[in-house]
Amino acid sequence: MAEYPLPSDAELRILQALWEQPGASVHDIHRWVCAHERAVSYTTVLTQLQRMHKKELVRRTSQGRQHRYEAVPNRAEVEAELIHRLSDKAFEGSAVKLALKALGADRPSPQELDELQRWLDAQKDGHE
Amino acid sequence: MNNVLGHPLLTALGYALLHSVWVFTILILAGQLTAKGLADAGKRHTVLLVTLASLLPAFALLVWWGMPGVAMTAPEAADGVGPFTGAIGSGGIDSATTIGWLPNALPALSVAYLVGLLISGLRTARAYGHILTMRRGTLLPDAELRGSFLALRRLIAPGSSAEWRLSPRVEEVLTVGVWRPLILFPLALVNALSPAEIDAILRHELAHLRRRDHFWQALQQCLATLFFYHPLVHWLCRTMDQEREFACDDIAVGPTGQKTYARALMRVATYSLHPKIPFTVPATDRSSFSHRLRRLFAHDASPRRSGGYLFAPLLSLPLLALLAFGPADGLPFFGPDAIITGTVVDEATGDPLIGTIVMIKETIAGTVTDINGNFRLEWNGESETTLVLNYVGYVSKEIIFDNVKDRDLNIQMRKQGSLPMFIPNAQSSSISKIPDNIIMVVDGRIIDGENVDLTPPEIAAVKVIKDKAEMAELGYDTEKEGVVLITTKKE
Repeated sequence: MAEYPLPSDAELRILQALWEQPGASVHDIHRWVCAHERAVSYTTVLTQLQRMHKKELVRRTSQGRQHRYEAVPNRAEVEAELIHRLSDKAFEGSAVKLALKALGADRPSPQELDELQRWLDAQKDGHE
Repeated sequence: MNNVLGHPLLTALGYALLHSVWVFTILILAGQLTAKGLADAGKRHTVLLVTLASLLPAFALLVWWGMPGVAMTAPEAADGVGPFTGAIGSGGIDSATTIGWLPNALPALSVAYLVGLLISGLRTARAYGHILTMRRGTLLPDAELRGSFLALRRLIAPGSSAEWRLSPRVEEVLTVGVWRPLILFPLALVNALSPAEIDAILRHELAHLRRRDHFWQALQQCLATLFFYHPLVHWLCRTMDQEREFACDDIAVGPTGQKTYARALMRVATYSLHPKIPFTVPATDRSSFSHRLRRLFAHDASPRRSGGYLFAPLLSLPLLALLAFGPADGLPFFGPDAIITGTVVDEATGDPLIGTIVMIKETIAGTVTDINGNFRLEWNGESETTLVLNYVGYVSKEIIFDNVKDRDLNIQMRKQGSLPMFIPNAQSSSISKIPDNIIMVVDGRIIDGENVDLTPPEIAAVKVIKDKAEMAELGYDTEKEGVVLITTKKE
């Protein structure tokens, strides 16, 4: 994987738009970002794209009077990089509970999980 | 100026702090007991939440009451304050004496509390800061998953506009934010889950949103911060956390099926654990997570404890409790309506059966036969009733008592045939047939086949559980009469 800096939030938004619509125009990207992320101005998207082009995060091809853009790194690469770089900054299970955790307030131990898995395998599903 | 203004307030706060210890204890115990009587986890959570919320006005009243000027006029002011008039009235008089011999301790206590509150508040603020950073740098799930999420959101939490994002910063599934909730999945987890499992977890988080748990939890956290010094407040919050998850499990598990749902939770749990250094929690110390998973399978069988429900509201009014508790308990107030007498004998021999337990069905009223097999039971019900007779080695019997006064019953009991369970003979014996009403578990596996090849020397331990509550806790079907747990010797 090529060496590029971790994309910022704004860059991530544009990359996502490009992963879903490869070869999109600035207009398309602007529309996608407004629909899926947040309302930003057209010029913001344009300058962002120019900056990303300079950083080689996006490829640009001219088609008539329009520029078409494509993301350089694919989604899997960026995801892997994000996970790799950010996982150690993870939110530590603080005593203060402001987030609703799917696992509930406390975490099971590995032995407990093993035991649960065995127990679960022995259970019959009451539904369907 | 500051001194003059600040001092009485600090005294009042100190007074409120001291008295909140017992006032909160009563309120929380009443709330917990009331909640225990309810079968539905969502309702239990509501009761606990109301209990927690009631602590704030109670505390405010205590502060107001602790103002030295108010304490002097206590008896007049007490009129019409509400149902807690009695408790507060006595508190007011208390405060006067407290202030009498503790003039400096109360402001000092208040200062200590304020310092603690500052620390507690800073911790909450720091956690909130963390939450804000978690909202950043997220990715949208791909278009197909987004579509199914929106459909699910319309179905489960129609009013919600919550978004679903993937974050590289979190290690477990979270819903964050009070005003604009956001469901966050660990980025790496989404690829590891099957669509059905993603669906199950999303259902759970959407169930939180449907119940507006994101909002209630923030309220809970604020109150927990405010009353950080009270251990029972923490206990209350822990119970609420658990009930909240139970309630969401109940909503989410529905169409998914318990097993898929439980597996999905397991996957999230395993994932969340993996990147961490294993904890040093002893294996015997079960987390509430275990309890949750097992509960999914013991669903309909949660024990009903309606006694607590009746009892709890009266806890704050001990006098009334004394009066009301009697009838609730089924104790006769004006003497019995009927006296049931009778004799219990062996059907074959006619010998009296000494120590036969005679109970009135569905009550705790009962007696034991004497040396001649006679019993006498007072009954003050209106309608007919059923007597249940039990004697070891004999078939239990139910007799319908038609409420004809002072009837003398002659009851014959039949000896039980051979026991339905297996009796191993010396060396080799296999369990020929497991009775339908018993669950047989060998080394953690439920055996429901006809034959189990086990010889007595192989068996290391046998444990029999007949207590329904214990069965439910372990996740066994409580419709059955009991569980036989067999552990084999392992070489």
